[in-house]
Amino acid sequence: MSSITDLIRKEIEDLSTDPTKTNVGTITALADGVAKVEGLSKVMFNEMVEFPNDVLGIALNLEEDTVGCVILGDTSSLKEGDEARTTGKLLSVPVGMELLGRVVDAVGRPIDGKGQINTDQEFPVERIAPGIIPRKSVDQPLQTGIMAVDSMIPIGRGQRELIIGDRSTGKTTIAIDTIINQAKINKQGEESGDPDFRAVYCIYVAVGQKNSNVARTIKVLEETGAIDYVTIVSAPAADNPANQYLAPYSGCAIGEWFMENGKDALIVYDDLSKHAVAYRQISLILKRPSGREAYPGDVFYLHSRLLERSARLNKDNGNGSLTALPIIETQMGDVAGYIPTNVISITDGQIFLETDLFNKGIRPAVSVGLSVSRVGSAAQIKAYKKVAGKVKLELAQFRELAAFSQFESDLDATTKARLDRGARIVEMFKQGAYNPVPVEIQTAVMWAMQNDFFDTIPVPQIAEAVDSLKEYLATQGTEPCSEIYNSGKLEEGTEQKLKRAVEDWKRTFA
Amino acid sequence: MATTSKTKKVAKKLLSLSLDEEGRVDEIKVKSILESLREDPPSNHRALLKEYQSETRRYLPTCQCALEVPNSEQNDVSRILTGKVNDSQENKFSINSSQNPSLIAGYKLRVGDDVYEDSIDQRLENLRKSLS
Repeated sequence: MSSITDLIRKEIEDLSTDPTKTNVGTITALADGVAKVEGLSKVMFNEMVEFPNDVLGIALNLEEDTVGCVILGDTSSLKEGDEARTTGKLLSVPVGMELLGRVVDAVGRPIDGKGQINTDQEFPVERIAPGIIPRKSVDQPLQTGIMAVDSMIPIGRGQRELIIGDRSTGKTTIAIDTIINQAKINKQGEESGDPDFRAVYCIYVAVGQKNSNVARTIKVLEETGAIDYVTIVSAPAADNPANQYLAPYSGCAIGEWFMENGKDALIVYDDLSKHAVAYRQISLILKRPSGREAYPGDVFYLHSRLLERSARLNKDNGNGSLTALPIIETQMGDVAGYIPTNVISITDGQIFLETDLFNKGIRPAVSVGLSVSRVGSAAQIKAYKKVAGKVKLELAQFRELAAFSQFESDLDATTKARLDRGARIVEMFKQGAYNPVPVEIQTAVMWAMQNDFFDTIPVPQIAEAVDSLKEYLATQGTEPCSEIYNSGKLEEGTEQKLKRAVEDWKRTFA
Repeated sequence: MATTSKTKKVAKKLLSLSLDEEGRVDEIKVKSILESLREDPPSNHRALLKEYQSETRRYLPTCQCALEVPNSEQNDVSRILTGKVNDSQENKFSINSSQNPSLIAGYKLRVGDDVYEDSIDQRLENLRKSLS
């Protein structure tokens, strides 16, 4: 009993007894989650404003006579004439390792029923991106575990790679696969006890999505054991637009903590199209002038200031990184839309997913022609670069030839060979969801393809053969893969061992 | 109809004409402005009056000071604070004192849209926030 009273006494003793000064205003209008407040003459842009019943808001519009505040929370308890107070604080979210494995809302409050998050650190939601001096060019790979991506559109730590495509083309699956692969690599690295191993922690930001979709994603992450390395920031479709607008910035602040503490992090923004729509809604309610497609004039800045916060820092600044995988949903495959072109120009490349390929059963439905990674190839491991160097060109040539040759009956031998090779590569790249492949096995399979080991197998059986080879390399022919994993190179000795392993496998497969 | 920027400018000018030497809104000056507008009404008379009203409404709290004390026993506090405010602000403010028993003890002073508070009620509120 006495300890409880002591606790309260200490709290009372610690309370400040100095007079406080606050700046106040009065709500003059309240609609659609936005309050117009008269007064608040000393409020700062983006400052948190306190309303009655512990409701918070952010000052987004500072006009001559009034302040436009977006309300974060339930507006039903507020009314015209209520008092609003400045807090002198920018909106902040809790950060730290304690957030791993947790699901939080747009302001960092836990919503997973696992109790409070015990962290005493907070980062402001809006921060200025690292400048030129603390940055370093991308030179370390971030393996997605997806063969089509790791071979043709490699991603490096600190890169911003856009995942773009129509609805239901597997955009989220690519992001989730990448998260699952990071968790697998993290576990492997932690078990190995390598002091130089750098884990990649993940943040998944769900903006404007159905709660059922978010629940499904959480379930997948739990089933694969990846949840321990992931923080989920959720602002579902039912949430107010202010929270949907804030969620990516909150997630980014959580990721920045890892980056600034010398760790590597990956953040997925799913998706920024809905984020732009939420911002448009807020801007229209705030009566900001609208431009193309009714988006406000600063919609480019909305995404550029967010994505610029992803970076690779140099050694003097801790050597941390924050890799971003923003997702954009296109309409009818139109990549020339307003928001898609904006985000394409901000990011360091894009993975474009095609509906046609998806419907043909080519999954992941990566369009080779429209996908690119502008900086990631510098981070690809040498062994993989050696075997995958030509594959993008071969596949692009195949797609072009396939389109032209469908009306041709008489094809020359070279064209036939290219078409045959292309069809085999397409089959090789087919990969099930939530089943990422380690990079050393990817390298070995790619090597087998480049060295014609699949040429005698009929095209419809290639996918089966690739799965069989992956299993063989993971269970029996592990030696060459271990060498690739340890050295990152494909030396002659390793190649000989790989050749023997693939030949052994081929005998069993035949 | 939305108020034009010209109407706003005129309303601001009328407000500046309504102030006395100490920067307070002078009732006599306001009356004479309204009378002259009535005698020679401008084309946007109604809109101008509305804008003049809202400008004045916004300005009035900036030259008024509201002091709340819990009971009449704290008249000393009230007198000291009133003196301090008048000294520091070059006697621009008119001070309205009132009683607010919910403060329990202490005072709450509102100058324009700045609020200075040192009361038991506020400390209890801070305690509630720190414990929640």
